[in-house]
Amino acid sequence: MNHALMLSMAADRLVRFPGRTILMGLAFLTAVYPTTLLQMLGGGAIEALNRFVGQVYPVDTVSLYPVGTETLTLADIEAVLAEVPELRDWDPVVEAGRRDLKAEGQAARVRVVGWSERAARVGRRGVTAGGFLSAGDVRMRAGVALIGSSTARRLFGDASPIGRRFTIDALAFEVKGVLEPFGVDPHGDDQDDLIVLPYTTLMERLLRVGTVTGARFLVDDAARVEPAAARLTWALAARRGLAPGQPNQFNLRTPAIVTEEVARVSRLFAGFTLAMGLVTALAAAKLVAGLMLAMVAERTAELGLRKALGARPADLRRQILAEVAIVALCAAALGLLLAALTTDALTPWLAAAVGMRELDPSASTLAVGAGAALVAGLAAAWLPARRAAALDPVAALR
Amino acid sequence: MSRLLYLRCVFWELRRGGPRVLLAAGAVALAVAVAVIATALGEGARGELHAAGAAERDMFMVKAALMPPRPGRGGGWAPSTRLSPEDADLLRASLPGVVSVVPVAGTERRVALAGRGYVVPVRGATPDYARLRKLALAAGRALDTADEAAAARVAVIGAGVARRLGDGQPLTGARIRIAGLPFEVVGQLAPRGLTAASGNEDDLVLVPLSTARHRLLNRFFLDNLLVRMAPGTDLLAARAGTLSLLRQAHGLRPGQRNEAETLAMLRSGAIQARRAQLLAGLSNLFVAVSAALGAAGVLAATWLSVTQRRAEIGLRLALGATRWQIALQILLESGVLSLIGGALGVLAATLALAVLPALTGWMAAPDGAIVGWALPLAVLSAMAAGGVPALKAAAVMPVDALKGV
Repeated sequence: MNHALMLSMAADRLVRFPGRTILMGLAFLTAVYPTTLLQMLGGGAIEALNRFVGQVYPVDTVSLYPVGTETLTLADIEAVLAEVPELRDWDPVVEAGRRDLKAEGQAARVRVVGWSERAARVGRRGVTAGGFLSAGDVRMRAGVALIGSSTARRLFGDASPIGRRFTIDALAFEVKGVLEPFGVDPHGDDQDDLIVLPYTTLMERLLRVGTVTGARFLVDDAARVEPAAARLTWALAARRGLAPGQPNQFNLRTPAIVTEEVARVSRLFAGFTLAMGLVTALAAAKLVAGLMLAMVAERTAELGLRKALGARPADLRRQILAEVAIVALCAAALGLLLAALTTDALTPWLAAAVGMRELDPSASTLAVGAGAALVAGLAAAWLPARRAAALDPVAALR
Repeated sequence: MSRLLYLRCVFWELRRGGPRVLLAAGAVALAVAVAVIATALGEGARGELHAAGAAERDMFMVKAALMPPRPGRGGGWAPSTRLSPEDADLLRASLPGVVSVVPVAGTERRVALAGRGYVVPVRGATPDYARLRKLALAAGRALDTADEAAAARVAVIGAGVARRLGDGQPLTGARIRIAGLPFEVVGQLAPRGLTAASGNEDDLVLVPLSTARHRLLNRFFLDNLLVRMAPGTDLLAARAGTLSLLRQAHGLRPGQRNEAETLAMLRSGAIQARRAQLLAGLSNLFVAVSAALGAAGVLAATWLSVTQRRAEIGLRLALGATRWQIALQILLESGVLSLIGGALGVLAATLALAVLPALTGWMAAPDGAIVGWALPLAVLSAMAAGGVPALKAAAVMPVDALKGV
C-alpha cells in the first residue's frame, strides 16, 4: 500500500467516524492546552519578576566609598573608567551631612547629598512628581533640588513642594522633583528624609571641596560584578602606587547578600517550573495514552475485517498511527493556538497585576506540553495497534 | 444476592478485567499522585521562598517621631523621648498577629582599635535582633540573654568595621573602644554589601540593649522597635493598630501629635510581596491544571471501561439480575478500583517527593490533608463517572445489549 493511499484511507476513517475523531482530538487538546498555558504564563511571570528585582535590587552595582585618609577625585574616577571596561555607567556621590534648611518659616536639619543626572539609573531611584536633575543642572551648578517625601511633608506640609524654595547657608534652591519613596532602612534611617542637589552645585557652591565622597558604578553584566570590583581595586591601587595585596582604604562594596538571595530565589522558581512541567506533562501523557488505548481496542472488529480482506499487519499499524498522528498534530496546533490566544487576552490584565510584558514563549516551553502529549499518544497507539494487527482475523471478526 | 457474593463478584471482575482495570486504577493513581505532588511542591516552594528572602518580609519599624519645638523653649525638631521597652511589651502582648518585637536604641559613636577609629552606627538591641534581621555570623558568637542581663561590655561588629579596624585580621576576642569605653568583640558578622534598602549594612556595631542604654547613652527611651508580623498579615492595618495602641499607652488626647511613626521597608518588602504573589499564582494554577488533567483522566478511563461492558451487562440482565444489582456492583467495582488506585497514587507521590528535591534543590513539603480530600474526590468522581453510564447501560433492553456479544 503506498503512502498516499494510506493517508487518504486514514483521513477517510477520521471523517467517517466523527464522534471518535472528535473524542481523540479532545484528548490531545485537553493535554496540550493547559500544560502549554501553564508554561507560558509561568515563564512570562518569572521574567517579569526578574526584571522587577533587577530594577529594585542593586544586583549590578559596585560602590566605592574611600575611608580614613583616602580621598576620591573625579580624575580618579575617569582613570578607573578607562581601565575597567566592564563599568558601563557611574554616578558620583557627595555627602554634606545634616544641614539646616529654612523654608517659609519652617526649619529642619536634613541630610544633603549631591548626585549627577545619572543617579536615576545608577542609584535606581527616580522621582514621583516633577523632574529629575538634568545634565544642564549639573553643568550649570544650578540651584535646584530633589526632595524626599518625608522632608517635603516636614517643610511644606501636604501641599505640592514642586517649585517651592528653601535656603541652605543663605543659598537659595528650588524644588524640582520629589524622590521616589524608599521607606526606612534597617538602621532605622528614614530614606525619604533627604535633599539631593547637583553634585557640582554641592561641591563648588556649598562645600567648596575638590573631592567626592564616593561613587557608584554599574557593571555591564550582573554576573561580572565581583571581577569588575577586583579590577577597579587594582586600577585604583596602581594609581596610588600601592603594591598588589597591600591594604587599602578604598572600601569597595558589592551586592553580596542580594546576589546570593536572588540566585537562590531564581533556582527556586526554575526548579518549581521544571517540576511543574514534568508533573503536568506526565498527567497529560497518561490522559492521552489511556484514551488511545481504549480507542484502538474498540476497533478490533474493523481491523479484523481489513485483515481478512488481505491487509498486511504493517499496513494496519501504519494506518492507525497515521490517524492518530493527524488528529494529534491538528489538536496540538489548536491547543497551542488557544493557549496563545488566552495569554494574549490575559496580557493587559497581567501587565497591570504583575508587570508582565508581551509573552515570548520559547520553543522549549511549547515542546513540554505538546511534545509530551504527542509522544504519549503515538506510543500508546503503537502497542494496541501492534496487537490488533497481529490478531487472528477469525477471532477478531467474531 | 448476598453481600459476600457481591464482593466476590466484584473482586473476580477486577481480577479478570486486565487492561481495562489497569487503565482505570492507573488514572485514579495518577490523579491522586499529581494532586499530592502539586500541593507539596507549592508548600515546599513557599517555605524555600521564606527562607531565601530578605529579612524585611512582613516587617515594619516603629520609630520615635520628630516632635516640633515646644513653644517658648526654642530649639529645632527633635525625636520624641517616649518610646520605651514597655511599649515593646505592650505590642508583643496586644497587637494581633505579632510574631516578635525588638527594641532598639542606638546612635553614632566613635569605634576605635589601638587608637585608630571612625564613627559608626552603634545599635543596642535584644538578642532577637540578629535573628530577625538574618544577620549571619562569620566568626565568634551572637549576643545572648546573659549579656543583656549583665549589661556586658561586649560587641558584635559588622564586616565593614572588621575590615577597617582589623585590616583583614579577625577581630574576635579583641578589645575595642566605643566612645572611649572598652568593649570585647565576641562576634563578627558576614559581609552583606549593597542592599535594596541601604547602601551600607556592614558598618555597624551591635551591643546588648541594656549596655547601650545604661553605659553608652545614659537614657531610658528607645529609638525604634522592629516589629515582625505573621506571614500574610495586613501590614497597613497592623501599623494603624500599633499607633492607636501606643497613643492609648502614652495617654494622648485626640488631636495631639503622634509620638511614634511607623515606617515600612518599602524596597525589599515590595520584592518579597511580588515573589510571594507570583509563587501563589503559579502554584494555584499548577494545582488547578493538574487537578483538571487528573480528573479528565479518571472520567475518561472509567467512562470508556463501562461503555465497553454493555454486552456483559446485557447478559447479566438476561440471566435475571435486577438493574439495581448491576448498578450497585459497578459502583462497588469502581469504588474498590479507585481506592486501590488512590493508594498506589499516594505511594507513587511519596516516592516522587523523595526524588524531586534532588531536581529542585529544595524540599517539597508533603501535606497529609491533601490526601484527605484528593483521595475521596478521585474515588467519588470515578464512581460517578462509572455509575452514570452503568445505569444507562442497565436501562437498555437485554436483547439490544447482547447483540454486541
